[in-house]
Amino acid sequence: VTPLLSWGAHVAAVDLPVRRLQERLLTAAREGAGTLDLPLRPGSTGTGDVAGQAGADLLLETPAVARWLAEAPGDLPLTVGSYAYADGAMHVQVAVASDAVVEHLLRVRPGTSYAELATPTDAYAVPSDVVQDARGRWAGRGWLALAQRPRRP
Amino acid sequence: MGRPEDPPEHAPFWHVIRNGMLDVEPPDHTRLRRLVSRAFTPRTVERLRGTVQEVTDRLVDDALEQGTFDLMATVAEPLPVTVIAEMLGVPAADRHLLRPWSADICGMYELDPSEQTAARAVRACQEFGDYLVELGRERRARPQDDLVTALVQVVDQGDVLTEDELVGTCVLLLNAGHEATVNVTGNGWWALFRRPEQLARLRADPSLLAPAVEELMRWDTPLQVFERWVLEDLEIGGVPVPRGAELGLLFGSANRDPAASPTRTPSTSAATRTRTCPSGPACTSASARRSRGSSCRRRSGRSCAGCPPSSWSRSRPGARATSSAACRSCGSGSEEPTRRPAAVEPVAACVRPLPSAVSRSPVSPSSSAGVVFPRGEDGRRSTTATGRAVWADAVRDVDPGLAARIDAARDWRTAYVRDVVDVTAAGTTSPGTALSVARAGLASLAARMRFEQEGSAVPVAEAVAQAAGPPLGTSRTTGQRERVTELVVPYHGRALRGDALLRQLDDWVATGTIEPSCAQALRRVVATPRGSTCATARSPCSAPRPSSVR
Repeated sequence: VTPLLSWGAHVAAVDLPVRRLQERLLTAAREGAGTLDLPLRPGSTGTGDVAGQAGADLLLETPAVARWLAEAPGDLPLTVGSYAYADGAMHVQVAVASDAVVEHLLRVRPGTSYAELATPTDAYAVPSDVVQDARGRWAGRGWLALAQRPRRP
Repeated sequence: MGRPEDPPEHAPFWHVIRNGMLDVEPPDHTRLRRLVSRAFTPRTVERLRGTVQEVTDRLVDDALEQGTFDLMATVAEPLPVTVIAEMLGVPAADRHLLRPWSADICGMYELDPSEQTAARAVRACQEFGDYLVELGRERRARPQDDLVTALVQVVDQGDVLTEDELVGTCVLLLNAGHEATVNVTGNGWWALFRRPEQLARLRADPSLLAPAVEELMRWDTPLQVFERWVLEDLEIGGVPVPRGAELGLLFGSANRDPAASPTRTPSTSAATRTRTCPSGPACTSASARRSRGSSCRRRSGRSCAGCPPSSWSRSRPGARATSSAACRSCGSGSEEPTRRPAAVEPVAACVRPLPSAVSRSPVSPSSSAGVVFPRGEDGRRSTTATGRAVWADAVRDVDPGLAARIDAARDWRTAYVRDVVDVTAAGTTSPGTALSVARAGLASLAARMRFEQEGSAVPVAEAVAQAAGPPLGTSRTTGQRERVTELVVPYHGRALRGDALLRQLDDWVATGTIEPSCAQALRRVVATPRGSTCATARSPCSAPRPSSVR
């Protein structure tokens, strides 16, 4: 979020209604060149202690989050990024909630694009020459092996 | 919440153990118990009585020939292992393997085992498991009159034991039958030697043998403590027990509950319900343990009537948590054998009727609202059942046989890796096939997961489409700083930009740190930075832990 705001982007950010998390987003906005929209708890005024009123829980408020993002202002096409993460089985719940929101946005806001982060543990099926090339690079990385060894148990 | 995560290096051990009936939940527990009971019944044990007596006679004869001997090493330890080997059908040439395996496996149950002890337990479990797999295959091909043959042949309503369940059952039999029998033999004789009047009474009237064995198991319980984790909030004897709590079930304390066991001294004629194992008196190995205990004392009662107690070893059996302390709930358990305070801090003790909600099995996540896993027929949310069904649905159109195998998998919770690899491989025949597998799996998951709110549960997509409830407001904050117009990448304390960043990208590609396509995308941003409207959705519950940051 911080780089996007420094570049002047208009960001609608959803994070948990936790003061510390919301304060961090607000700081990034104040120190940036863009515009930050945060969801407010129903009935909140948005004045005074904004960090204490902002945020939404993607798991518990999935329909409200989808609706809020669908109505997010902006003249340019929306790009929705899904960066939620949780450990264990809750990750599945989070992924399902994120997918439902993204699919809703793709349906109700034509032109919406999608972004996500791949993880080092994602698995892809690739041709065998790609595997051989990757293994060759790994084996031939020279002195880097020394630095990389601790990270590969 | 629930049972704590197992260290990955212990996974092979727990994979075996958790296929035993002590560690599985209904309905799998019920199914496993039903199958094993068909092969392993009190009548089966009774048929072994002759063998048990023969082994006992030989061991006691050998001991008496020595004059002075160590009861534990000469009789108590070899007896159960020999009997179990006989029951299983382990060839005589291999029986020497069982005692070290059992001892090493039991090491994992020590309170706070060292890494060395745990590693030995893992290795022993793997070796014994591999051995049993081979033995099961051999017996399937060439049946014998033994328990492994009965277990591989047992069929109940078209259901059979899986190989993992066969191994888990046999390992449980060895562990539960071995150590507890060693302990009850040592504890029992120790108690009788200290009460010569009871010993004399027993020797004078062999008909007292059966109730005496039962009473000695109650008097100095061979397995003092067993730990369980709570799957849902409970109240036991007025004590609230929260979900996720670890319970130390003090069997020794339960066996001295005045409401159930009024006697305050060991009596060879007392007959009470005794808890000596986590499954209670109906435990499949309990009947065998009683049989071994009876045979040992029947034999010794005849031949050793004149032996002075001093000729017997005073070594104490290695009860791994010899303590019961006073029960916190009822105050029982203050009789003599109590030696040390309980090492496992109990939330509630003296739990005789084991609540069905208490188990070692991991709990499934069960948020009370929002996006949740679906409930099964038993009302519980099962991540395993959902995961298995989704993976089967993913590959059903592409490889119906593989889907059927996943549907039928009994051990999917621990053996899913093989199926996931096979599903991935099934999708590699063409890009279209890969997409088909992915779409089918995602569609299945989306159809199964539910959004729960105020008592209603609907598919998540349906809840999102309806978007009921009060809308969220909006707070807008606008920064006043000048726009950054170039890509800046923090790296090792530096801010890489421009040519320095491009050189670093080349270096990362050359060393395989990033994909060439990633570098190409970054070069485009370096050349033409631009802002856009962007929405982000982040962590639903907390900031990612450092290990989770991608």
